[in-house]
Amino acid sequence: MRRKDIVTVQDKIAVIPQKLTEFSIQLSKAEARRKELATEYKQLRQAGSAAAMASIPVIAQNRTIQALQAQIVIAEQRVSELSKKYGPKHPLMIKAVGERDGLIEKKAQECRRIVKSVENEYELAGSNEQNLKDLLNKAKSDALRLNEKFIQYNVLKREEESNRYIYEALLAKLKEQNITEQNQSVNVWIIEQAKTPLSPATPKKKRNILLGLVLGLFGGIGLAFFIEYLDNTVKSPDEAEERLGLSVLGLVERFDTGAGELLTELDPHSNVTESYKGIRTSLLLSSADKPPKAILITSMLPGEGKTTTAANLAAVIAQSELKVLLIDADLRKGRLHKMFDFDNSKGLSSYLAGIDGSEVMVAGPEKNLKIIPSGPVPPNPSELLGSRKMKDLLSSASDKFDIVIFDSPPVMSVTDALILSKIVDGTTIVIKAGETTYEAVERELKSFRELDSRILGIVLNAVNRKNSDYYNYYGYYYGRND
Amino acid sequence: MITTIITAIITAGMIDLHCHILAAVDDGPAAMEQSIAMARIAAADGITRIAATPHIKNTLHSPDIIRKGVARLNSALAELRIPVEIVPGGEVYAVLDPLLLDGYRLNNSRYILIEFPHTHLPRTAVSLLFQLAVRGFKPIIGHPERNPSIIRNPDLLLKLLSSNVLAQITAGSLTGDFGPQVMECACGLLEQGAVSFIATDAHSVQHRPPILSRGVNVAAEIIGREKALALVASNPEAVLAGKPVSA
Repeated sequence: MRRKDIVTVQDKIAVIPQKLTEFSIQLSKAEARRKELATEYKQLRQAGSAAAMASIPVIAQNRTIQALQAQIVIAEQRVSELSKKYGPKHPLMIKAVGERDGLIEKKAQECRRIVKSVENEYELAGSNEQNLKDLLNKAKSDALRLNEKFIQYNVLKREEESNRYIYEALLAKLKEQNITEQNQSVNVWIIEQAKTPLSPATPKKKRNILLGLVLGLFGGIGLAFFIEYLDNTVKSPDEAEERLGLSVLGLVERFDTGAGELLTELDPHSNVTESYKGIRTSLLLSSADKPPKAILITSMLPGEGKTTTAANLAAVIAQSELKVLLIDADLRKGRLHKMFDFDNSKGLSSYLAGIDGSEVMVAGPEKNLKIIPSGPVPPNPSELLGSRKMKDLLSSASDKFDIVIFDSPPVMSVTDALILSKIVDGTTIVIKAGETTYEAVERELKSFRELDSRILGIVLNAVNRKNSDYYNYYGYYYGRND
Repeated sequence: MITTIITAIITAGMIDLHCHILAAVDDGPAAMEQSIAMARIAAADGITRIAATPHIKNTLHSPDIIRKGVARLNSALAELRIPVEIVPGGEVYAVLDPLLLDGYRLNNSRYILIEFPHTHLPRTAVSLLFQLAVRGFKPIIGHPERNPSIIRNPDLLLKLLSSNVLAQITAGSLTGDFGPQVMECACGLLEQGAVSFIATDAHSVQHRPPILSRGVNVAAEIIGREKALALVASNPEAVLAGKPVSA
């Protein structure tokens, strides 16, 4: 219905204004005609007399009237001409006057006919005008209705336009998608149907764990080898003998010094005691050379165990029925008196300085062990140790004792040990396992060799029993040394 | 059980060249009773002769003490009718001066049982063995399979061995008493023919008793029963008799 209406509106929209214009033109024409006729009719009504009437254009310009008037004039002239010759009763005169009167009558009749036709025409014009007015009014109301409908039409048209726009956009999209789908179907082939995965794609836990395990294992092993490679400390006796060209006299495992460093007094069957006894055997009973009578115990660095080794070795030698003199020749930082709990106001330094005599020698814990502590720190330790008096002390001690053992400062800091190495029969070097590097040992060994001092061998000290297999094959089964 | 008995019969007459059976000299038995108990175990295993080999290392026991100890133990065993004979010997620390060692030869033969330091094989080993050789000794290297240096590199031992330098392994090493590394080394040395003797190195009744048969059984699997038996019978027999050891 609505759609049909709209179509009508669309058709009429061009027609109505045209009609309106046409009607209004016709109406104004009709109006003008009616007014013109009204004027003519009014003039004709007001004229009254024939003469007045004759001057009215409608009548004056009428050809019939004009022809009649001309005939009247001619007739008049004839009458007037005859009147001069003939009296009023003459037949010619009567005929002429009759003709003239007939013409006048004809003219009056014509005038009445004209008035009548003007009157008719006027009435016709009036009704014609009324008709046009009605038509115009109808057209106007039609136009108003149309205007209203046109507004509605515009509203609907806008709605339609927006709908069309949306529709077209959707259509374009749809077509685009169709094209994409068509393209895909060309390039992609389904080879195998996708399966729903049962486990997550990432992280691949098993692989990661395995990878971590392998990397950790090999990385760890590699690192261990690398650290081992970097570790240049003296550890194994085989390597020490090979690299330093010296015999290892013995290994002493690390022990807790909290209970005292003189293990030989505490437990005669401990591993450490056995180790010192082994060193004693190697030093004094080996076939290598003439057994040394004066032995210097020294080390490359401080804190490697010189004093402990000297004291314990002196004690185990004294236990084997040999007379031992232990001398603390570390005049700078002597420590023997602390270990044996002696007074240190007198000692080697005061003896060498000529202040004290043989009373500086004190009895040790073993029957065959005598000890000379270091004494007060002198200003010139190296000088004292290299003195004539030092040599005299050693030669007289060698007469009274079977073995003389010297504790000394480390080689690296001062020359004391090197000076002493020249007057003893042999030097024993204590190396702290896992701490002293081969470089350090080799450097100092060079000094000894330049002096042509005899080196008896190495004591590898503070060996970590847990980390080494040197004891394991013997302690594995029954926990004691064979 | 039957196998044990058969083994005992077959292996009857075994000789143990390395045994700390003498009482109160080293870390072996403390008293005579323990020595006798050890001898009983040895006899039950088929051992008929034992070399008493106390440690000669940190204490140089006089050869006289050893001889007297052996004599006393032998008379005690005879009295108790334990069919085991003890002969004198010693387990001598290798670095000792050969001049000190004359009294520690095995049954007064030229053979002497030596031990190297437990910690390593000294680089002077060749020189030490040479010193012994020039003094007329025939050294037998005791339990080389337990030396860390030799475990790492058995070739070190092979270089030392000759017709005059022989090797003795511990029976317990073959049965794994000292762990897998020692066992592996012992078996390897056996395979290479480097071993001349198997001995117990027994110290007491409880731990490592004087039993050879178990070690011999293991050795038999590696080199065959005949050769394995030679290591506890004919070879030590030759040593005690002062004759050359064949192969």
